[in-house]
Amino acid sequence: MGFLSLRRMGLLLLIVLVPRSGSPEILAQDEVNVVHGRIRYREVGPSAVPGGVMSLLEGAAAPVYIARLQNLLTLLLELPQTQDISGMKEAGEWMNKGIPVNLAEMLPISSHYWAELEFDLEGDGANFKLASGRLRWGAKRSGNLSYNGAQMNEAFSGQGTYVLDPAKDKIELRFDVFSEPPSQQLLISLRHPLPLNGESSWSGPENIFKISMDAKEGIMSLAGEALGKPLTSVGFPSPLMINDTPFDWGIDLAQSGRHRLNGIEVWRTISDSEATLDYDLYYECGAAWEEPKEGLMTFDEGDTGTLEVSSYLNVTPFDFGSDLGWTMPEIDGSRRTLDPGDPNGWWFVDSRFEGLPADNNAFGEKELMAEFQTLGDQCKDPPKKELRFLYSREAMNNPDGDVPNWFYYWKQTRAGQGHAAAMEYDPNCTNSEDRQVLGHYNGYVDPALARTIYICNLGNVDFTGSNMLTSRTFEGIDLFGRIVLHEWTHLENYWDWWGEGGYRAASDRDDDDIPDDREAGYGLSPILQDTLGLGYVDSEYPAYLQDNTWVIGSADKEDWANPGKQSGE
Amino acid sequence: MMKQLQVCALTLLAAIAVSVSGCSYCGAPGREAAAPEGEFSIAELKAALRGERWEDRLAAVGQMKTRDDIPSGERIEILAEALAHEVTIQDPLRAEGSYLSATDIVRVHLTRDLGELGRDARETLRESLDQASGEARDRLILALGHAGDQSVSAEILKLLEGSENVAIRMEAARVLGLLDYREAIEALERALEDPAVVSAQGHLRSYTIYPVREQAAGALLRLGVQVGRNDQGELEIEGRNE
Repeated sequence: MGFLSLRRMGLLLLIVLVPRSGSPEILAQDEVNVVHGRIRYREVGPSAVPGGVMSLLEGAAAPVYIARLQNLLTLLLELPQTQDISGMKEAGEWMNKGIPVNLAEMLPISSHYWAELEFDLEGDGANFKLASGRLRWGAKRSGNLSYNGAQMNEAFSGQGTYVLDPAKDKIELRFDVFSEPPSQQLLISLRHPLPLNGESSWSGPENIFKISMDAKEGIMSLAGEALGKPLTSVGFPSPLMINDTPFDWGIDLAQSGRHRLNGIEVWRTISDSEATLDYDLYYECGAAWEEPKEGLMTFDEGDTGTLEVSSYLNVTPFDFGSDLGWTMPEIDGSRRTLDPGDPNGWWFVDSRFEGLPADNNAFGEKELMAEFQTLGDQCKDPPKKELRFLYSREAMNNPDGDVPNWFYYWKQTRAGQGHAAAMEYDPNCTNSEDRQVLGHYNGYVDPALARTIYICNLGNVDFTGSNMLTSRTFEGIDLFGRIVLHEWTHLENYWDWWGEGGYRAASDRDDDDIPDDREAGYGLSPILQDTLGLGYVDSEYPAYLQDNTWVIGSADKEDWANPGKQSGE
Repeated sequence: MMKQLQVCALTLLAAIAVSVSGCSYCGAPGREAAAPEGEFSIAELKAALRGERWEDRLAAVGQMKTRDDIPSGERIEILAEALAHEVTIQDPLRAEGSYLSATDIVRVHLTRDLGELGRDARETLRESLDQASGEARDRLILALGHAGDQSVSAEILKLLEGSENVAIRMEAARVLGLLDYREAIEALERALEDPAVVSAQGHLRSYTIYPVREQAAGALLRLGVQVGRNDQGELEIEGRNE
């Protein structure tokens, strides 16, 4: 039995041993399911890759192998009393008990084998077996030894791909999701050809003999000479074929324990190589939004007006996050910075917007998107994230800076009714416990102001107001629309009633601001200041009736204030 | 001229009445009629009529006017209860642009809406009157007047002459005109010198108004008495000094 056989036997013993401890109850289901998987396996140590003449040195380590195999066999017999062997690491530790030897330090050989697997398992919901898969591998081995004038060297390497064969390669997964805690078994045993290239040589003192082993695509041949004569001269075939097909090499491991769809495990093999398993099992490849959790994004109330949006995706498998490409929303007129600067290839992005835009239409609904770039045919993209960008209603961090945001942006909307240029914000309106003023028109007091209407701070009335004649209540942007319409009616009436000549008290006997000869047209008296007795001078009645025609809700779609009609508050 | 004026004033009042569900008066191009607003249950209406905010109380009053699904008698009972509550509210807040306080305006609406409903259910309105006192009773009397009940004319005349509440005297003067109560002409003429005066800030400018004199003048005009304004802008009976 060569050392390769001993190594293989050890590995197989391990994978027999591990699943026997804590074996989960198998719960079969009728439905056929698919589990996808990705595995990265890495082994570094003296026997991670088979070699040439220096393998003789590993043969010298056979007693160590045997002692460790005995430990494993002992453990196998003691089960099921021993319950703590749930993975390769625990098994390896048990195997090495009482054998304080580290072959990796003793043998002048280093080798490195790695394999990456992508595969699909099919099963009934609890038991899954390999259905298809692919493996990429790489191997490298080197060694050097000098002693008493003799010299041993070798260097082999290779890499390739291999299509997994469900008929002979084994990847099995068993779930028991109903146990407490849920448990699983993962078993991997597969082999692939290892077509290495390289050479190995051994020369005796003063070249008393010289042996060389060449490897070409895994086919090894031996040639040499002794005492200056070729080996063929003493009957050796030339070349002497060591093997006519590449060695089979691969992975044997088992894991049993708590149900975990991904993880990393590191252990020592029977030959003291360090093995690392990084696995990721997933039912579906895709990404799901972790952040932002809510779609409402509101600029803060600071002078600059900033907004930070954290976007974070849970990607399964995690590594596939490097395939993501992002489409990040922009706000015209606001400076956007991203972290990372180029978010493509990342599973998270922080966006920062600085400065509120000048245009109300720059706010609103925008899409945040992330898509798999090259894996789009096999991975599910996260749904488009609908974000709603808002401003803080009563802050004053708009580009004007001297008026509240609601006034700055609402006047641009349908609620502004096209009068933005003729509208001014008056922060000095006299509002008190016994007086409420929401807007005013000053053309009667100063004809120079006859083309301007004034809107007061609607925050003083919590953005709620009623038409006193009709009792309809208006809120938010609807109150703004109503007040604009009211004051604009005053402005229009002024120009209609008084024209360029301006107000003339002589033509207004009852001092209600309506010319005497126009009152009857409104059903009002030219000598009564309050014809209807409802608490207003007559000039208010046409304005109140007109502002009542403001259609509640008609500007909702343009209201990006928070709170506001689109903020849901 | 006087009849024409009455018709015109009624036209504007009618416009106000229909404006809750759509304006037939303004008709500005491109503007739609107001959309119907959500309706409350009776319990919600009652709660709103007792709400802290005058806007809510006024909105509820406005809705009661159009709630034909509730019998007139029941609406009168609800509004009479609301009135009894409203008159207890002490809030000096003056409504936007008005010379009356917000609660006075709610009271005016309650009074007139009760009168409107009382045209079909005058007995219920009378029953409410029996249970009321103070300003609530005064306003129910005025509501009966709005409902066209001539039997309360003398009591309303007493309100005009004796109430200390300006808003009551003001409404009393108005109702006496609506009732065509000619026995009130002398009192209405005296009311042209009612001392109550209010300075207010409108949307256009500040102004001064004599509320009782205004409504007394309007009533006299309805009663066929010619009223005009002198050079100082004061209301006076026309031709009296000629």
